[in-house]
Amino acid sequence: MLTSACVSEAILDQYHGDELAEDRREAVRRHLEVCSSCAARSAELVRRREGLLGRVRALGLHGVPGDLSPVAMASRPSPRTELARTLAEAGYELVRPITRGGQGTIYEAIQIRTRRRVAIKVLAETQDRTEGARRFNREVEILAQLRHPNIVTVHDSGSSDAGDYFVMDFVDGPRLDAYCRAVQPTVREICTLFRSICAGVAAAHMLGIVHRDLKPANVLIDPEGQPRILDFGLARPTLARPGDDSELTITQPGQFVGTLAWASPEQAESRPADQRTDVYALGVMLYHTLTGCFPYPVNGGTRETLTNICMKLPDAPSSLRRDIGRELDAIVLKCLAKDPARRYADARALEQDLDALLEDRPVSARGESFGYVLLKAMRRHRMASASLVAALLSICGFAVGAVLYSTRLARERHEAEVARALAQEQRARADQHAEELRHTVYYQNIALAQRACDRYQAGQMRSFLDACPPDLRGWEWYRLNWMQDTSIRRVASGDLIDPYRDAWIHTRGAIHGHPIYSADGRHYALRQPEWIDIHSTEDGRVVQKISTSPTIAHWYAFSRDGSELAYSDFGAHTVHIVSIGTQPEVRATLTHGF
Amino acid sequence: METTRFSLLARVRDPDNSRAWSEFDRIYRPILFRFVLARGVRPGDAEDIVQRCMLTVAQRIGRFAYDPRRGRFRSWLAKLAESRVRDFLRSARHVPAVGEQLDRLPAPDPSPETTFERIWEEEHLRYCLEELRSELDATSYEAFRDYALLERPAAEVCRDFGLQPAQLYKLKWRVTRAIAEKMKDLGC
Repeated sequence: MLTSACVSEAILDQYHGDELAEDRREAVRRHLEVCSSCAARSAELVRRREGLLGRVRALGLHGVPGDLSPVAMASRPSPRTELARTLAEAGYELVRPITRGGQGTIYEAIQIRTRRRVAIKVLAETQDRTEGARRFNREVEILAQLRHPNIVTVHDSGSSDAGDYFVMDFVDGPRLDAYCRAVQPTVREICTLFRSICAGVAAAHMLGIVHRDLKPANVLIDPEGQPRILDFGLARPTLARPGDDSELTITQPGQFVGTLAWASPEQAESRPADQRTDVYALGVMLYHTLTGCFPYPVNGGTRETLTNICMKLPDAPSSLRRDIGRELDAIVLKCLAKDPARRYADARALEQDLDALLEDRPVSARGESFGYVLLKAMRRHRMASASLVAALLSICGFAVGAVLYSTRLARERHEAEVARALAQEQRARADQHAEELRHTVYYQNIALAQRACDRYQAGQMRSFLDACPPDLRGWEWYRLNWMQDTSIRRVASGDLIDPYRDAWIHTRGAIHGHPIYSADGRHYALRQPEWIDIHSTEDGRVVQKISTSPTIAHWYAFSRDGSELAYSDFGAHTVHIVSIGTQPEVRATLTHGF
Repeated sequence: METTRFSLLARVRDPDNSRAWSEFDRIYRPILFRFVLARGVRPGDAEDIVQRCMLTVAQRIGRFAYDPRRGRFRSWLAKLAESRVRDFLRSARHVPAVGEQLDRLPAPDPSPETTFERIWEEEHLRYCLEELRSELDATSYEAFRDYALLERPAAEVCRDFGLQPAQLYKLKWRVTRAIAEKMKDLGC
């Protein structure tokens, strides 16, 4: 009898999987009731399988492939899980949360495709879905162009139920303040560090992007010791928009506690921010890094702090730290001028002054007194100046009478000339700067047009091309313009497709390839995930669907007379030829041995 | 239940079997990458190290093809990766992360072997699950996932997917068995 025979593990497995015939199953059941060793093995098998499932569950929900069914989603509404799912679809695997703040949460993640570490910032509040979303995307597009060694680049963005998110470089390093506390840098090292920070901010200023929320928490020091600025344009309504006064309105007390200490007078008074706002924040950071103190008390109440920001003149940093020179005093105080017009015009100017300081050249913040410039020149060329001084001394005896005679008048005339020359030079420099900026903007537009072209967005492409000033247009502009022009001409006439509304050849949503045209001009074919659509060029309608299931077609082409379409499957082992017309039929299937 | 399928290691030995190679790459590259990252190497350098490991694997894979001793390949791969990481950390190219310089509190770091085993298993499970998902029809997979992985109540899952409870239990058992078999095929 079967009941007396012990059952193998394979049979036990089939028994649990309900794969045995009726009588056999019954026999095993009865055997398990009487045979304790088989019953134990059966229990062990079940335990092992459950253990395996437990290990799969431990992978976390984002390790479980596949969309959740609507019901499952409803029963698992945790935003974290939702986020993991959305990000997994976008190609990122969450690793762990890094920081959680008022603005949102930053996660460490891995880009699945490249296995590269990235940081993902999920904004706490979701932007207004319609107009807001469009602006958001455009801004991200511009931010993505902002590439500089001292800036944390934004690579990608999207929306999830937990909020909009940005994908950026992962920087493995401490914040500026923590770094300085640990390393205790010298004044010179601090200046070098800030020169790099300014270089990053200056790159953004060149593109008209203002940070508005510069503070030590937004600067990370990477493993190479280089500062990397975080959160460009993310902190607030991003790009500088003239007349926009919506930032930093201090209506809710306490809302800006973290940031307030670094805020500028214009932000404190809810006036528009610009590049010089960033210069001010850099000044506060420099002051704080050098001395360990804020330029004015910021520990009191919000109102008191705001008043201090707007009214209280800071002491010179050298009064708090001995080894700070007068030039550096001047630089810091120039950044901290209450009136934006008295600060550096932008981060580039501040960077240049720090550069001058580090290389012992005259610093613009000190003004151009003749004696100061001479002093700097002498310090820079110590050897030469020593002999020069000796020569001067010998001449001095003879010259002293003459010098006394020429007195103040001559000196004033000389100083006026120097001032005029300097003003002229500054104007020339400003012109050159403006010209550079125009070129930069032009190339940005070209890059954006190219990208729109890659994404078949003829309308957007047009607007980027139109934004290019005519006198700067080179061959690259004409090439893109020709492509854009062709794309519109190629689109079938008729109302279906409006070339100025984002369309090239366009099927709202996913676009899977370039259209190809039949030589007789009657059809165009467009590749879709598992089929090819044949459209009529007259009205853009799909006249025929050719299934390429289960794969996407690799390449496809019309025959010379336009009556047939050939396509290969993705492995390119097989070529199918299909006739176009009323009665679709597969004419031939060729299999290659390659 | 005898599996007639050649193990992946055996199939990879055939230099013309490019599918096996891509399968191999899909499993082992992420394992190596995650392991090297976990050992504190920056991503850019990690890619180099992983690439060099994969080359070594390609050259020596033949030895492991028909070796009946389970886990031999795994421990060999763990040793290979660990020694490559050590070489790198010793080399001049390695700039220690600021965290190390500052001598901040080091995380309680499990041994490299433990780390490797954990990543090894996680990546294999994930791979098997993904394989299964492509083999099953969508409804079965989703019903399995909802019931067995997300642990939704059986009654709800049955209602949503139009299954009898007996069918659902059967589905769960069979899919779990398939995962176990796949893991076994991969030498886990």
